[in-house]
Amino acid sequence: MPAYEAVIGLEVHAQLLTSSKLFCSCPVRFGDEPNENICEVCAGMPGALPRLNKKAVELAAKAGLALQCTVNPMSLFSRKNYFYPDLPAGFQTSQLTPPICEHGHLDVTVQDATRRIGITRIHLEDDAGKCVHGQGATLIDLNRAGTGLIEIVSEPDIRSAEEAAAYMRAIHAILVCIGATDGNMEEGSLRCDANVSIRPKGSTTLGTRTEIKNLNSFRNIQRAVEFEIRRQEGCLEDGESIVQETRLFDAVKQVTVSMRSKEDAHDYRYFPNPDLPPVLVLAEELQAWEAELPELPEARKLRFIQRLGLNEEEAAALTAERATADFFEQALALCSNAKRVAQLMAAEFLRECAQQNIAPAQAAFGAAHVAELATLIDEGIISARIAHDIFPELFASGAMPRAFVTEKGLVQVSDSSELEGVVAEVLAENPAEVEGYRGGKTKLLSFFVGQVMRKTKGKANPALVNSLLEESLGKH
Amino acid sequence: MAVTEQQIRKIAGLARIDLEYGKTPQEAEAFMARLAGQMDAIVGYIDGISKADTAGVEPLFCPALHVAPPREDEAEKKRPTEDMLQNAPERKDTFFSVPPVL
Repeated sequence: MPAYEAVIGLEVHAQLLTSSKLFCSCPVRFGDEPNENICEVCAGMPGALPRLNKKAVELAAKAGLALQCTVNPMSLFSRKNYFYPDLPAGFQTSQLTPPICEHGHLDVTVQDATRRIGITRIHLEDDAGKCVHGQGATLIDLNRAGTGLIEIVSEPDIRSAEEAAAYMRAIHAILVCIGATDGNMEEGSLRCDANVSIRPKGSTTLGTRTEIKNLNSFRNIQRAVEFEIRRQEGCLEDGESIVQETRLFDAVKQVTVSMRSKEDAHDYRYFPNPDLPPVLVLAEELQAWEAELPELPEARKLRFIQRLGLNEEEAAALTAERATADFFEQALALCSNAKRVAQLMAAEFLRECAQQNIAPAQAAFGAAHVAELATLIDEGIISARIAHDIFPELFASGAMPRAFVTEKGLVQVSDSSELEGVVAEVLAENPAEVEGYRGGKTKLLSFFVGQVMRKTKGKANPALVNSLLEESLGKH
Repeated sequence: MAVTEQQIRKIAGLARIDLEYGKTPQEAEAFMARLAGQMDAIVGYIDGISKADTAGVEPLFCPALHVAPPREDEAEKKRPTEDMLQNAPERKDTFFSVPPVL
């Protein structure tokens, strides 16, 4: 069996974070009553004139800058013609040539290997409405129709399912960071199509590709591409040829299934949209937008590692979302022990946020709380274990940690005279273990530490307990 | 260039136009031939453009050279849903209803 290599390209669609639609002022909102936010423009009525949303151009250009693209000073809208009930005008307004951005790239790291994925182009286009397929009729809701999208088309540079998912994660992080999209994949704000083909390793010609439509989670991207690579390998092994077609991923069965053969499909008869003049981006505008770009996730992660001494995992967890990284830096302004703050956030704060399904910025427990809790540990007032134990309660109540700890009497006992008594008690109650320890079973030390902690309800200073125990057990 | 009847059928198919509706096979065939002839004349006429000497002429992407001022991103609900549904041949609640596509 020859070894195969996968060749994958992704087309990512991101819904732009604008208040109004791409060509009309109808509100962009998810979850409203059907057809509540439509007008003659987005409902495709004859004679209605589109007017381009300025903010959408800015966001598309910013996405291009963040992905190292050239932003074209002039780009054009074209009509892409096809019929489907969710497309009221009978055409999608999209960009063929020239698009607003092209020739970019994104570096993606999988298992410590970094590879550069080319970005062919980014273009602006409007979204379609939604179909609800019912008994004997198809129902149409056009609220989403006309919403601004960018489509980011990659070169076929991706070589594995894992890399495809990593690329999508990186795109997601960047677009959310620059405020181009809310990135909500469950609501369809970010979705992608994957073009997949395989070829014998070492070959430079491309195999016949299939396109998997509408993948809406990182996990589905990885699983769908994994399945599709295996399926194509199976076809070639059995002497069958790959059919160029569109396929759908069935997330329940974890398979891709044929949707339609491409033979008669893709004849979109593009032509320039006569209702829309060219999109112009002035050099001054572009400069101003570039200056507005925030620090991008990858750069921020590197800074956290190199300047603040965080490890890869901590830095990755804190920079996966911009709001989390901002939160971390707000806490750092109040407590300079970056490592401690990072550990508290990664181990406690983000876990609670995920469990309670609360965005970090929305939590009652804010940056000042995290900083104060970190300071309490640094000052030896509570142990990390106490911090862990009280965290859920602090998180839920939003109480300030210092006041909470004092009120509940959780201040760590660091007074050796007080602890000596407890240590003596524990040794007296466990003569067999004391004998064992003195006989060489030094691992029993942790047993004694545990007993002291139990008696002090976790409040004993662990370092002090250790040294007191070692001292007492050493005496015969 | 000659526009073929086959091309006429393809374009009509893509535009969802049934050129044979209400016609006998003979009538339909004659109709296609007539359309192909007319289309050929139009395309042949337009084709004259390709003979123009465009050396040193910048490409023209859009006949409208004015710059349309872009719109500020301000949301405004302009039309009541009921108005928008007035022309719908069929509706269900506030949905447009069309023949099933699945």
